Amino acid sequence: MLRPICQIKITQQPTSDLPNRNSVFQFSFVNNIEVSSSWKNLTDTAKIKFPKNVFINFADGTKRKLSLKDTPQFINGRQSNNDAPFVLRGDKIEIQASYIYIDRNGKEIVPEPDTIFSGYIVKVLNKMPIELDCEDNMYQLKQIFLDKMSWAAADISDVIGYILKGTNFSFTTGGATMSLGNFRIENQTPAEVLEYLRKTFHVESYFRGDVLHCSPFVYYPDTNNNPPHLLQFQKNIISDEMQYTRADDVKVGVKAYSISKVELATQTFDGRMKNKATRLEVFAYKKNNGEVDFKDLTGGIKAGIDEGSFGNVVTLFYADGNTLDGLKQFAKARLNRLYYEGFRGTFTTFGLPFINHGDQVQFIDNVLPERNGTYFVKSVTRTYGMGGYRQKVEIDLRIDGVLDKTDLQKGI
Amino acid sequence: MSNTYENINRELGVAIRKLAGTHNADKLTIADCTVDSVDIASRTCVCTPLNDTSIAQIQGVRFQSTVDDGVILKPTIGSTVTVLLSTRVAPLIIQSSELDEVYIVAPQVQFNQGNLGGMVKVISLVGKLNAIEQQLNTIGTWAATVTPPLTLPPLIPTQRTDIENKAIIQ
Repeated sequence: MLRPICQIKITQQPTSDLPNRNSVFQFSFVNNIEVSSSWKNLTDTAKIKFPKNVFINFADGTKRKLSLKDTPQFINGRQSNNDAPFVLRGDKIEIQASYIYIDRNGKEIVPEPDTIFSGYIVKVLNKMPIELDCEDNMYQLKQIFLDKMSWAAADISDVIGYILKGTNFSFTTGGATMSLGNFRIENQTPAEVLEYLRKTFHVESYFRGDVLHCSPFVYYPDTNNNPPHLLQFQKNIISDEMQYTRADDVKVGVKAYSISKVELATQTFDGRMKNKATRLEVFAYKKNNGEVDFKDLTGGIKAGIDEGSFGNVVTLFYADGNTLDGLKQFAKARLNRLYYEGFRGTFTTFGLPFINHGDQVQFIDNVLPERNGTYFVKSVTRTYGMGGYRQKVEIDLRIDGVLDKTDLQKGI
Repeated sequence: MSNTYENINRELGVAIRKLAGTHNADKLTIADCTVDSVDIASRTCVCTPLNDTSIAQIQGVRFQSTVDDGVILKPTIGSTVTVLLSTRVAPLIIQSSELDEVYIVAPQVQFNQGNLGGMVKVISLVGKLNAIEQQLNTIGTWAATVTPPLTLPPLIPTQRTDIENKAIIQ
């Protein structure tokens, strides 16, 4: 039998009014925790609801009910070194969860718990029971305003390196380089810059620990080699809201275009090499056998393409498409995210195996083997509380039969 | 399969942008700026906005679409220009207040109605004038030997600088 355990650690942060606010509180009980984590949300969030009646044991033997009005001198049996409010916006919080289980020899095993959330308290709901809203390290990137900066031709690493300057965070692009062209930062927080990159350049960002992942990939080449988590329908998948979509149910095409600058062989009157801007355009679609094919639409050539036969044509601008090959890679990656034969939706499993977004999950169904398949994980919502410890996992694109090793090594 | 408020907000945002016709659309803004530096080789300049939300310099502001011949309006450093900013293409000057140089490189250029004929070629004109002046000086030398002698002051050959306006060259 698995018995869920949790540990919530709140580290007070000093403020200008309360410079001695630096106590650490730990709780091993909670009414409910919900942690949402995804590469598409920029910020991982957590909601914690404490039990209605939490009593503090004071050193003198008295016991008092905890409320937000309290300025507890003593908590967990030890004296706090300040009389500051219990929790404030900006306090650090870490949530760990796991299961205690009995091994085959009858011995109780307490494994090293998984850190399911690490971040900051952003909102303290002023009601009973006490509720806390939390955000991950992205909270820090929402608190600082950047100095003005501009680049004539910026690469993604230039911009991310600049916005993280002065913080304790590092970053990775998964080896990707991406030209952002003319780029300017003005009256923005780093988080706003990341949101702008997401909207304009399809660059997704998220924190994993203290490392900011920011890349046109969402599934990084280094983690794509990790083995998938095995999940069995009749064993550790509790319930699911997944629907199987056949390839011919959804017919999607991706039209991607970019502006490319080409240097000509001729010179200007003042001896400079002449440039010319051209529009590159490709149409990516899947053939009946599932392979991705392209039609080069550069110059308006549309031979062999009947866009009307596609249920949905998504048109996308690619800022870094200086070559046709680069544009094709972009279109293929987008198409693979939109169009595959397999499951879409969410399933609920126990707290183990510990699944992160970006991981791979492999479904095994001994009753209906057609449901077998390997998928990427788009988001995970973890809940812990009276109902136990659960993970609600949203799956994304299918790997087996859709993507090959080369695709995975390049990053998706 | 959204399950958080943030996801719902994002999907709502996309839906609203689609309804408004701004989804996937370029966003254009205009700013009056001061020119800080000019690079004729790349046909770009660096500007500081005056009326934008910030005063972060704008790098690589084009005063020609690409490096080529055609019309080049090189702005004066310190002058005011109006810059169009786009999320998809490099910024560009759409109006200038002061120019250092204007280049028009085209097989044919016409000012006004074009009924006054073509512009004079100064090098050829100087040659022609010098030839006439030399002929007249020869006549003047001969005229001084006849009776009664005719004294004509010698003509000084025309220099290119005498008649050339170097501010407009072709």
